[in-house]
Amino acid sequence: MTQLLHDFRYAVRSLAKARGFAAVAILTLAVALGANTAIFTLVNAILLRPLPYGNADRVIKAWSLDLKDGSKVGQLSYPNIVDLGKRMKSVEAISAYSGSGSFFMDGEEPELFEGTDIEAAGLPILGVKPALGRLFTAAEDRKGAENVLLISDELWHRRFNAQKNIIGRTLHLGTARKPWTVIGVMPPGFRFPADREKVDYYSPLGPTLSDQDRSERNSVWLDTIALMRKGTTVAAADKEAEFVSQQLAKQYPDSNTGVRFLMQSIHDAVVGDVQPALLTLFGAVAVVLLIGCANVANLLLARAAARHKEISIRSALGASRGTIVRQLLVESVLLALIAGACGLLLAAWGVDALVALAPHDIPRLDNVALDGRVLLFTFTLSILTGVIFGLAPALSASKTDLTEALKEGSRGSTEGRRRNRIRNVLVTVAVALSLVLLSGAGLLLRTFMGLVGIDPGFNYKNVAVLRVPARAAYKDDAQVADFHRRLHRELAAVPGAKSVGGVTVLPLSGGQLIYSFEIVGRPPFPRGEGPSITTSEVTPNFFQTMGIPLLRGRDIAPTDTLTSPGVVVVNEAFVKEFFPGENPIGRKLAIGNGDDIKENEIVGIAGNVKFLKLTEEPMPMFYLPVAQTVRRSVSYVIRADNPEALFPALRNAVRRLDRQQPILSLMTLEQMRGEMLAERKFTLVLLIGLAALALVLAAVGIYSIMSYTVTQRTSEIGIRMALGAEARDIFRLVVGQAVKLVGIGLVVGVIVAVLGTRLMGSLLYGVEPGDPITLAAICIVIAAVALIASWIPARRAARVDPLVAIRYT
Amino acid sequence: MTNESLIQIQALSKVFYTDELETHALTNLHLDVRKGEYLSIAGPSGCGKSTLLSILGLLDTPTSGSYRLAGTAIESLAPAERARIRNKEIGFIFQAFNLIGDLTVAENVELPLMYRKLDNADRKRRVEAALERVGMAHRMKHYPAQLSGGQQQRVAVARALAGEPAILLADEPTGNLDSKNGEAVMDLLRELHRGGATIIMVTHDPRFTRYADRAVHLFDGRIVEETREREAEEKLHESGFALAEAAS
Repeated sequence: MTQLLHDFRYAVRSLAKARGFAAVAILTLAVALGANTAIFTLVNAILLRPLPYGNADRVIKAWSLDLKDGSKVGQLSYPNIVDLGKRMKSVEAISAYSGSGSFFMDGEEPELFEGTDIEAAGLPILGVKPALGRLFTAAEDRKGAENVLLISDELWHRRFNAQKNIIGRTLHLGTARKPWTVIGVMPPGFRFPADREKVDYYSPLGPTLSDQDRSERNSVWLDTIALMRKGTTVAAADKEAEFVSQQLAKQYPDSNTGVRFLMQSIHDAVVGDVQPALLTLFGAVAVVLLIGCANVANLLLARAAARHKEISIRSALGASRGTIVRQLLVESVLLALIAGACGLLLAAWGVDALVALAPHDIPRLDNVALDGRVLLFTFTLSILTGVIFGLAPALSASKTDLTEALKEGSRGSTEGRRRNRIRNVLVTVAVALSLVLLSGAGLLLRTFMGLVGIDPGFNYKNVAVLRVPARAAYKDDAQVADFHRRLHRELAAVPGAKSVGGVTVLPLSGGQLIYSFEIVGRPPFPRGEGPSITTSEVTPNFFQTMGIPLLRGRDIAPTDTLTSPGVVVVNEAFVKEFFPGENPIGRKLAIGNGDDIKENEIVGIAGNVKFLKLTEEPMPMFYLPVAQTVRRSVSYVIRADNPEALFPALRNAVRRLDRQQPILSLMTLEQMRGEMLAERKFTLVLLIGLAALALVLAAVGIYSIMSYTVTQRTSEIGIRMALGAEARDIFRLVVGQAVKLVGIGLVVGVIVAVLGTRLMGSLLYGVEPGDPITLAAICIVIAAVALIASWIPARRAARVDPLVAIRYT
Repeated sequence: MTNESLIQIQALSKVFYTDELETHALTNLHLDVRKGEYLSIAGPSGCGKSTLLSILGLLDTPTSGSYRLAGTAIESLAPAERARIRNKEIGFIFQAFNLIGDLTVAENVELPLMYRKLDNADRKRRVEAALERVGMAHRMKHYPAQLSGGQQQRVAVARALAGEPAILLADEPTGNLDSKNGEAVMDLLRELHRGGATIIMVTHDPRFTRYADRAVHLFDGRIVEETREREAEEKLHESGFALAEAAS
């Protein structure tokens, strides 16, 4: 220990003397360690930190899987949830829940509160207790019960100044201003579901369920959580869910054939989607750190060469190799710890920037903060880094052959080849690693460009989207339909609005409406094999406003109303699948679920659009008239030269029609598209940033080794010039050495990149891992950067005065 | 030795300027070296021997005066042309050998031939011949660090010879060698001279001036004395006598 302290004191003195070296090494490592700390802070908060639920390790989420096409449908029907709870022995309790939202009407302006409707069993499943008040009772979760709710800690502070007397207070929610009694306040940091950006309140689900919801197995719109019994694994629960799925399919073939329920831990359900991107970024920062380590190791090797004499004297005085290695490692670990501390400061700033940059739909983003685990990570990583970059130089420097050292000193030959080899290997490794990172960034860039370039089947430019839910004052379907008809007319009259249409579920908005159907005049689809079709409900002019071509027949017309015969517009893919070679216009579809089935005549054929994902193949769809299905909430699309300039006029149009009518959202279609691509863009921007950092570090590495080599080889260059080498021969010699090192690095890097980028396959679209064009482009970029990095040392070498070089050998 | 003049130096001066200091390294030097001549440049440390050799070897340029090598005026040549002449016409032998540690013996000898862009076979032939000549052909694949000082200097001589230069410039070639190896290298130079080589050797050791046809003595950048072979030998005896006296 005393010896270690002595080594530490010596290391401090030694670094204080070599300030330039220490500054460069600390800066390089601080940037790399800071990037690692910042990304680890994200990984820690999103992936590693347990969800803030008492039973987080036992809570699972149930999904339904369509075995016909393997797609994860997600939601379940209420009767199936009840059956799963009754039949699964591995499950202690089960609860359905669903997202909801209500306008809070007690303020000056209606404010949209976002909520979760959940069964009384739901919150106890999570193992959460309210900070104030109590949870729902079973009685409050029944139909007709008094309206009660729990509010979030955030809402309590923001809207109610954390008043203790909030319990028992009545809030008026919804455009009908229904009274709701606050019975509790949830603890700080609690949010369910955790992947929602905000949840203001929790209310019982039971009163919202209709009789049809409770009995109809085709009515799949509920999310499900369950609490596993102690000692049960997720895999065991999933296996049992599969067994129950088969039982239910036999018992209820109409609804359950081809449906498989699966179970997933709540943690995976929340963060599973962002996990590949975060792990890719984590891998990328690790690569940046390795490149930084290679650079600093190179600096240490150069420093060791300069300290050769000192180390030789220590050896001559009896220091063992182990003693010298330890002393040098203490120095490198000290460097890394100082860099780690600086990196932590950089990360503290970087994390705020990351959170600001990150798309809001990344789950658990508000948990992101430097905590004890992050500090421990940075401390451990710093020590590990110090050992990684310090070990090779320490071992090399400690391998002192005194006789050889004397020989080298006296005979005018150049420095030993051993250290040169290590330096060359380090530069090669840095080049190879930057190629891997740049390839990853390049592939993501090509993916992003591919996604941006995809034609969604509609024109997203110059369109405003205004979402308006008809308020509760419009009581029945006729009043709601009339409100929307008048609003449509009002919006169309806004100066600057070229065309206006309405839709219940916008393409690529993330929403989905699914209907079953039969073709009238044809035998019914076999039991359990009937297609479920993605549907949207539209107003007249929707297709025209969105730029979706109407290929045949007619658009939905103002005359298609509640009282007129049902009509439907199908898309191209629908015709291709169900009416190949036929003209479907005039044919009828029996559309609906359960007993609510209505015949609709096909009146038109629209072009295909990307509806759920940009990357999907065209899928069969149909569009029903909003006026015949009647939905409260309709998104109006308004085409204009400058849609944002129209926002005030659009708001005024709504107010003109009904002063009390709230607006749910108003934005442009391009903004919505930007939000959809935001997560990919976030990963891409970060990866490009890291790749650029890697490239800069690699370039600095190449520059420093070539610069050091030129200094080291000054006498050799002088000799060569004395022997007749011209400036261009020397220039070629230096650049040639760089090209050789970079060439080997590129070959190694290409091999690693081809294998390594396979891990990010799930993040790619339209480009294969190891894509040759991307790799070739990256190789050219790196080669060019390497050439520039070796240019300055090469020019310096070409200007060496042979006389001076030889004289001072 | 012929009467044909290989080197003609007229009124050559070299001044070094450092900050506010002006150092006259060489002053108004006149020197003729004939083809096949063995010239020794002697003098105390700092007298300008090495500066003169650097100018003769085209590693440095004079401040004033003229220098003609094989009839070519050197002072007006571009750096690339000087490098070409250095490569073709001049062979260097340094005190510190100046072999390149990363290259093998053969590669070191081959180096000047590479810059002359000779083809592979020609280079190989010349390298083998040069190494044979200095008795180092058997160490072709060794690295300099694996050789003794005497062997390294013999390789350096082979490198100087390989390009068959018009002139060999040797700067204290025995300075880093023991007396036995020093003698061996001097014997080698004498043998080369007998074979027709023009040699200019800088030395401060009076024992080795006797190997030369002629010796010029520099002091403070000027030629203060010029002696022929016999005179040189006599001087050697005198200095040997003086040394012996001093020793007794």
